[in-house]
Amino acid sequence: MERNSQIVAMVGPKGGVGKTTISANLSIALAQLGQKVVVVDLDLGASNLHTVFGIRNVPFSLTDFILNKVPHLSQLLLKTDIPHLDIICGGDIPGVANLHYSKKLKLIRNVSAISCDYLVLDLSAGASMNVIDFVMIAQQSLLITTPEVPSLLNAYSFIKSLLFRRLALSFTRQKQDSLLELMERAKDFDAHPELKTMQGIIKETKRIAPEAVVTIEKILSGVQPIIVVNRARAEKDMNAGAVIQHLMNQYLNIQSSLVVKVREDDAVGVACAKLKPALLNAPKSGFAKDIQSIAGMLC
Amino acid sequence: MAAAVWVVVYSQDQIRGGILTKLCQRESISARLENRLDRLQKTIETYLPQIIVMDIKNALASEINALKNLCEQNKNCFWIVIGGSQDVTQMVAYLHNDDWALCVGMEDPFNPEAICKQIKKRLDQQINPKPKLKTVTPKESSLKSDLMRFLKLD
Repeated sequence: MERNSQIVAMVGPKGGVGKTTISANLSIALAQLGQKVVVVDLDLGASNLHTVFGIRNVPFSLTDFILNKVPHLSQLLLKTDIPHLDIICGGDIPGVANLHYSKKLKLIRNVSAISCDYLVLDLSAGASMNVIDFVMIAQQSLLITTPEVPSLLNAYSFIKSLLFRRLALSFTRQKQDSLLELMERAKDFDAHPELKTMQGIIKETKRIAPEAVVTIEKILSGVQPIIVVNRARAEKDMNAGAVIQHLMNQYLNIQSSLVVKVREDDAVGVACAKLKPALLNAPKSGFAKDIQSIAGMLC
Repeated sequence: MAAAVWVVVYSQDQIRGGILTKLCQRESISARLENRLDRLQKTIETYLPQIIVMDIKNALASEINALKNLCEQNKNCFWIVIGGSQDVTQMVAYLHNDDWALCVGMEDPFNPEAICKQIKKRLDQQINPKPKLKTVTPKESSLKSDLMRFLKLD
C-alpha cells in the first residue's frame, strides 16, 4: 500500500555546517524508532552521503535517473545495513548542479512519489532555486547552522529567499503584477527601507491589493523551520539559535520556529574517519543523543 | 519581559498535570503545564525554571528518549520524575548513571501533595529562590547587532 511520506528537507545554506552528517544520522535515528525511512542525496554535484554510510561501491545513483537510464527514481533505492532505511545515492555528472527546469520538475515529482514514512532530503548548500524548490515540497525543514555569524547570516537569507520565492509564485498564479513589482522593489531595501520587514511588505500589500494579505499570512504560517544549531559547544551557542529565531520573527514574521542544538562531539570525526555513521559507531555519544532527541520530536 | 516560571510540569495527561500545576499555584509557586515536547523545550529555554516535573506514565519510548536528552541539556535544573514504578526507576537510574543526580523519582500512585512537598523542599534549599531568567537577551547580544548590521536591518 502507498504511504504518505513525511518529507523532511535538510537545509544548510552555508557549506560545511553538517547537513550530510545530520541527514545520515537522523535517518538512522528515525529508522531505529521503527519508521520506514528513505534518505536521498540531493546535493547535486557534490554528493557524498553514501560515504557517511561507508558505501564504497555505488551500484546505481541519481545519475542513472538524470541520464534517463531508469524511468523511476524508486528504482534507485539501495538498502543499507540499517533495518527500515534505504538510500538514494547522488550523482556527480558535470552540470548536474544546474538541472534543466523540466528535469528538475521530473525529479521533484519522482521524489514526492517515494513511498515511506520519512523521506529525508539532503540538499546542497546555497539558496539556489533547486534547493528552494525541494524545500517547498517538504512538510518540515531543518535549517542547519553553526553558531558563527557567516552561517547564521546565510540561514536568515535562505529563509528570506524561500519566502520571496513562495510569494512570487503565488502572485504569479494569481496574476498580481502589482505585487510582483512590489516584491522586486522589496529586494532593494536601500532604496525602499519601508519594505525592509515583512510587516512593511504586508502594509504596502494592504494598500495595493488588500485581498492578497490573507495569502501572504498563509504562506508565512507555512514556513516553520526547526533551527538546528550544530557543533554547539556552550550555552551561548544555543543563544545564537535564539537570536536568529528572534530576527526571523521580527523581520520576516515567522511566528513559530523551534531551536535545537547538536553538540560538538569528537565522536563525529572519529566515526567519519572510519566511514561509519556516528550514531552506530558511538551510540551513547552526546551527538547521538541530540540526534535521537530530534528524531523523537519529528515522530 | 516574560513572567517568571519556577516550575514546569510536563505531562501528557492533562488531568494529572493540571492538578499538580494548580496545587503548586495554590502554594504560590509559579508553575506552568506543558503537554508537548517542543513546547516544553521552548518553555525551558525561555524561563529557565528551577524545577521540571516530568510525568512519564504511559510515555512512548521516543518520548522517553527525547526527555532524557532534555535532561542532559538542562543539568542545572532539578528534575522530578513521576509515573509507573518501573519507568521511574529506569529513568532515575539512567540520570544517575550520567554522573549527576539532580533528580528524584516518585512512583505511582499519583500523590500531588507529596510531589508539591518535594518541590517546596527543593525551592527552600535554594539560597535565592528566584528563578534565573534568560540573561542573554537578543537585545543585549552583540551577535544580534552584528547580524543586523550584516543583514542591513539596523
